[in-house]
Amino acid sequence: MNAYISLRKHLGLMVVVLLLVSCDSDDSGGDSSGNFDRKSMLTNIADNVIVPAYDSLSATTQTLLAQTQELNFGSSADKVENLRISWKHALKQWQYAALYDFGPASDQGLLSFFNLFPVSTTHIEDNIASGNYNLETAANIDAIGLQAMDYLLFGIESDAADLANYFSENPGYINYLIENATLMNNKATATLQGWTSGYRDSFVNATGTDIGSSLGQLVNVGIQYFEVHLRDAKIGIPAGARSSSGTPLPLQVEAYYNGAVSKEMLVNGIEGWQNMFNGNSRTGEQGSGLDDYLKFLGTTFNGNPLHEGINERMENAKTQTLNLSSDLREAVVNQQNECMDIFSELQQSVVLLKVDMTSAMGIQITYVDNDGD
Amino acid sequence: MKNILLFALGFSILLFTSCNGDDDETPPKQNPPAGYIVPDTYIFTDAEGNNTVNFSGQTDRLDQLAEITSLMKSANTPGTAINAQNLKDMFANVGENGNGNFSFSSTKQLRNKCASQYSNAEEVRLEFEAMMDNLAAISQTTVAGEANGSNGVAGIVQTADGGPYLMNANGQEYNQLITKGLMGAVFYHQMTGYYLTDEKIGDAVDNSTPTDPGAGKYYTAMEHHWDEAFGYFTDAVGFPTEGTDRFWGEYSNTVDPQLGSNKKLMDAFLTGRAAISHDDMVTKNQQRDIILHEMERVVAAAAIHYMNKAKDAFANDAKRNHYLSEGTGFINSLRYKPNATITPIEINSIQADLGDNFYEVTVAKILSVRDQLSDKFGMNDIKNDL
Repeated sequence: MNAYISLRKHLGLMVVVLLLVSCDSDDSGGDSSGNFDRKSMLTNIADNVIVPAYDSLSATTQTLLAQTQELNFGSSADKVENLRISWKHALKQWQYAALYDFGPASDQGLLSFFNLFPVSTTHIEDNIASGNYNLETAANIDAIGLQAMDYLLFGIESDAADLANYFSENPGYINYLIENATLMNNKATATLQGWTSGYRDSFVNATGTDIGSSLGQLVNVGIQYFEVHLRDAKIGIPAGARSSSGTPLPLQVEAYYNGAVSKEMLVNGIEGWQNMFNGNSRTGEQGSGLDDYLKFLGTTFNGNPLHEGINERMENAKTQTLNLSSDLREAVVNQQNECMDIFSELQQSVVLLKVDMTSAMGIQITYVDNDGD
Repeated sequence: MKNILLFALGFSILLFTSCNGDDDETPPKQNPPAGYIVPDTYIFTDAEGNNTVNFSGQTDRLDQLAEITSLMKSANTPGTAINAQNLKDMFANVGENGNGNFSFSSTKQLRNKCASQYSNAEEVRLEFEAMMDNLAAISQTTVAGEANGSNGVAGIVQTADGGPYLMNANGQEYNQLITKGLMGAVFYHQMTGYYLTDEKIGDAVDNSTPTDPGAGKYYTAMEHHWDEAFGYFTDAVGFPTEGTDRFWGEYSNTVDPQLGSNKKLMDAFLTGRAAISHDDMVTKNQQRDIILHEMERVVAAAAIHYMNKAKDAFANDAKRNHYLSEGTGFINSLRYKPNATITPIEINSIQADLGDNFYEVTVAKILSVRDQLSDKFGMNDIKNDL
């Protein structure tokens, strides 16, 4: 009888254990997290960080499209100046939207289309000269997006009136600007619509920590973005950290032809990442983010809370960037050591994120390319 | 007591079923066999303890394709030209050692098994040989230390973190088209279109006479044919603990997180083989249906997987074209199961949507291919994760 009861208890336990194991991926609790409310965190990040970022991006590309179309009715110095201002604004919005390269953004290929650099100016010129191009094809990836606009708005003529005249005499450039803005606007708008028409709900409800979960995607895609597009593209490669000779490569700087916004864009890019990490809105409202999750887990690094260590590294990188005496185009040459220090702060952020944060959260890094054949 | 056990078992099965969100709509039913034991590994013996499993001919063919692939891959190193005749001699296993190009001898060959159950088999073989010719021809144009391939120019394509891969002027990598294509036209085709058919393992096939005990062949004809089907899936009797490193074993493992294919396939091979040895034809036929169904899902899921990878690497010529070549090879493989879920015309249409030039592809085209496949195979809920 005793054995019978004991067996019955164990069977009951077994059933419960089976339930936990088999349903773990959809469970909002989760073993290592105790009762941290991951759904609230995802909801805050979706509603107050990601969707507003796409909303702003979509609005600015709409403006770019309208202003490039305006050039068709007669270009002028004023119109060119306005377009240059809007371009900078769009580039800034991009820094806050770029890192969410999953779901709708991934289906649009946003990261490939918006802001890869350097562009090929010969490719852009060839396209305009032939008038025969489909900017959506992979072959045109080095001739599109905000960096193609950088060349077209700043790389041909510096004086706005001169550029306005050049456009009037060469309407192929205006067509190209319109096609390019149309492409960006379509993709930004489709991404926003994807989020607001269903994806947001599945995102906030995929509350597990497994590979397909929202947290798993945020962390994987976010860190990959941080490594490739922030640390390497914006500072590491131009400062020479990625080439064997160590020679600075100023032509690889973001917005090279503009030559005055790359510092700001690096700072914005880091801040965009911190907004996700800290769950902060653009207006500074603090909500639940990865930092709160780490706080809840009590994760430390060198005796201090890990989330503080991560933010400190990123704050250091921003401060050091703002302290550079010139834009990155000059700074990577004239202050190469200082630029390498910024790179190093970002690299140390990556280690904290990729090793310490992921192991604390129980998230597997899956983006290491292991396709051996 | 027994009731409680059954209740607990039933409850846990229900839970597994209800939580298994990634399954397709109508999986074939799997009934556990009664009265005999299904082993964990692919090891079967007769009443006297004699080994009854032999799929050495299949293992020889896996090894042959591995060596063909290895030779083709050598041309990915800039400045390395390879000879088409060597590839073709290996394909037909001339002189039982691929005319000296294989590291081992065997009486088996890939060529005569390629699409062998189809009336256009010779045409298919010539297509593979034409690709071998093309691969060898473009391998002559590469120069040591140079990445000379680009849109419109055949050669080595390499990016900072992709390649080097030898590709034609359209960015197609013949190595992938041939290797993945032969996995379909030989291994998958022989398994699904030959060995797992009624002709080879149907209820009327001899299952009582040991083939040739004097020569160590203790298996019945039906047992042996089942083993040969297994041998085209993997040569690892302990799959998936081992055998996830090449061919279908590898790609089942790639899509396993979403499909659960490793266990489904291995369980079906093991259960069906045990059923044959115990003359349980009902279970054997059920397991055959599971294998036919799940293998096709593995092929389709692998194709979807590579469309996703191509989309993610869209801006990277080497990686994108490599993944598209790999995915195209798997899409092509779908042709080689008779009575496939997808028709040849539908496959042609999907391939036409992708287009021949992988440099001129768009994200929308890649996703259209992916989505047509996921629609067709009931994988819409897992297509993003594959």
